[in-house]
Amino acid sequence: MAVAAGLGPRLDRERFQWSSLVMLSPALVLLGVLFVFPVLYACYLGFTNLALVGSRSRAYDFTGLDNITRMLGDYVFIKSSWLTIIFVVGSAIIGQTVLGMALAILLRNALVSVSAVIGSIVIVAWVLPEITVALVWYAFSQAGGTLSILLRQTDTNFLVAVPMLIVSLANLWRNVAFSMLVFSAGLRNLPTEVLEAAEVEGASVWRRYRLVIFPLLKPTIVTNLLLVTILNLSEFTLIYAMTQGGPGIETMTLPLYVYQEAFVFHQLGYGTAISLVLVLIGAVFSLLFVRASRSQV
Amino acid sequence: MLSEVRFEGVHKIFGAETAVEDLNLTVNAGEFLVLVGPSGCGKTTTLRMLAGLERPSYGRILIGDRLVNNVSPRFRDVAMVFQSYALYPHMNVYDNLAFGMRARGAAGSVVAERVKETADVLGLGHLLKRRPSELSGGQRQRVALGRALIRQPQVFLMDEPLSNLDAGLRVQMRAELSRLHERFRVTTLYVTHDQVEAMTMGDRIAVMNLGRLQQVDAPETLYDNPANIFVAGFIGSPRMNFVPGRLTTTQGKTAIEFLGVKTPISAGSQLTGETTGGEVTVGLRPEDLMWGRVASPDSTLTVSAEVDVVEPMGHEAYVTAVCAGETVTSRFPPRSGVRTRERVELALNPARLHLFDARSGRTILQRPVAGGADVRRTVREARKEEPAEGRSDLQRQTGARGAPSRAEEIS
Ligand SMILES: Nc1ncnc2c1ncn2[C@@H]1O[C@H](COP(=O)(O)OP(=O)(O)OP(=O)(O)O)[C@@H](O)[C@H]1O
Ligand SMILES: [Mg+2]
Repeated sequence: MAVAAGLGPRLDRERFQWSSLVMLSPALVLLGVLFVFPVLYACYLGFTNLALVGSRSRAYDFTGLDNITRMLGDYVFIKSSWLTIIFVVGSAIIGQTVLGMALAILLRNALVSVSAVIGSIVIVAWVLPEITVALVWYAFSQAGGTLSILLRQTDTNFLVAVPMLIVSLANLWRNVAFSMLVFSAGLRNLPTEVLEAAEVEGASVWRRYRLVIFPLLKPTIVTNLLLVTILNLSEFTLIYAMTQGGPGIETMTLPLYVYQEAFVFHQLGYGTAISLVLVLIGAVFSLLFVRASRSQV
Repeated sequence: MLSEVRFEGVHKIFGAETAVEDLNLTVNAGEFLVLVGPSGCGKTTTLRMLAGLERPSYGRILIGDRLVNNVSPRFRDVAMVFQSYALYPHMNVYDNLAFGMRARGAAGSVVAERVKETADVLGLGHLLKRRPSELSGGQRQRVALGRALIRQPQVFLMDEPLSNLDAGLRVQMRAELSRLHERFRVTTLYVTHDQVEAMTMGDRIAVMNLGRLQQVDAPETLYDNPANIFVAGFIGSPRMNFVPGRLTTTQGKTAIEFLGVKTPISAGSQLTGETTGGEVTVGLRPEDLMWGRVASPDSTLTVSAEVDVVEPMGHEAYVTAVCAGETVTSRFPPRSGVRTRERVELALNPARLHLFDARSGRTILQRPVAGGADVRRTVREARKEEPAEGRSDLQRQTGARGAPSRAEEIS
């Protein structure tokens, strides 16, 4: 500070170039029209009693916190929120990330030929259309299906007995390739000599992973968690195709509930309000991950 | 614990490239062996094979009596300083240094003590909380060195560990490494591009070229009796002069003709090989090719040359001159006053000529070890006798860096 006295303004401070606005304006306009406005408008709709059909579809009112109050008393909504969190944490965060990492590590250490074969199989599952995956797993878990035969309980329909588990597994099976690819790329880009140094220094495999590889992979892991969480929070097709949210409301995650309220029961305002909650949950998860990635290291 | 290291017929082949070819080398227990050679000659590959990071394509590697070809790096008990440092980027200096000891299950208090000791020796005491990305190149290199030194392995592998340090710090670190080696006598394989490091630190020097080991010998021997033209040209700075010559035998006496002069093979030297048609390459070290006016009395041969370039180095000057169509470099005293295009007399001592077969490049003359080598040996011994001084110097060193030591001056 003392040194800088009398030298005038700093020459190396960041400067805003007004001319950049001209270059950015087309993009800004597009963003505003196609993104910012719809989002804000949706926020507004979430606090109205807009309906899909009937008189309320034209003349709807701002209803203040009515939708929120209704949610808090809505048993289905509460259950649905929990199911969503279970689905995202179980299938995406834990399942997909852990299994994806495990696969990436195994493939890294496997012979090239082996890893090529296994890698492609996993990726095929990811390339299959969701509806196909849904049908495959639907058949797989029926009474008399492959799963029941494997477990020697041929008269159990697992999609009825443990619906959330089956749906989560199907989702995991389909999406694990994504995490595997992300982690494989991350592992490949680790500085080889740093890992070699750890080995020469006598660190066991577990120690190398715990103290060197995972910390170095942290940015990759966080990116993966963010993407996977956001993708899975809005998962609709697979679950809807397998169970339509049933049996009862056993697999009614928020996206399905939004669909039901908005398009089956025509409560567009309430549906929008619920989808805002979905956004909120996503934001909370993202914040947690970003926080975690910044702390320690 | 002293362990010798043996390479037996070791090859390393990468695709179409042979990085190391038929390496047979024994590093004696407790020896400090310096490995030198031009860039890409296979030095790092050799170290990596010994560390277990690269598997030899053929041959056997032994540490002590143990065949280690199939032993994982973890269990070889070697410490390596990587050419690229390979520091853990997400850990601070303290944790970088402590990693190896912790991995081997050392107690926290022991680790803390050793880290502090090592950091002090390397002048890193005030940087322990920093990450590698917040250090200068030389500081990183010292962390890399410290990470090896903190351990007590069976073998040290150091890949140009001082290359990025400033001259003063390099002298200190050199002394420190020599002192540590004197004390613990850990078998060491040390790669360097620095002539001074090679000459002053090594018990022996191994010279490699194009993946092949050229010669392994004590520094003086290597300097005085290089096995071939490559070694002769590689060791010594400025480089040895090579000029074409002819061997002639008249009445049973052999004489050498070169640069327009003729001299008999000096007494004490002996021809050890045949030449093809008498064609030889004569090697002349720049310090043996002196300015006529200041030449020693035994420099009995004189040639006339025209000065081309004068490079003043401060304590001496390198003069490049053209003599009988050949360009030669000579060491002149400082402020000699000679200028470009001036004609000068150059004097040389026939006893200090090197002779190589022009075809194969192999030496054909065995010379007695003498002259310059004595100086070198004295300095090496003097250095070894003064560990105490070297040490106190280092402990004072944070900030102010000591004056060049005597070892520096012989460069
Ligand atoms: N992993 C590899 N794959 C293919 N070629 C390699 C590999 N590692 C080294 N080489 C080749 O082997 C030769 C020896 O390399 P090495 O790293 O041992 O050289 P070096 O003597 O350490 O050189 P420098 O002094 O520049 O560090 C080089 O020609 C290099 O291109
Ligand atoms: Mg190298």
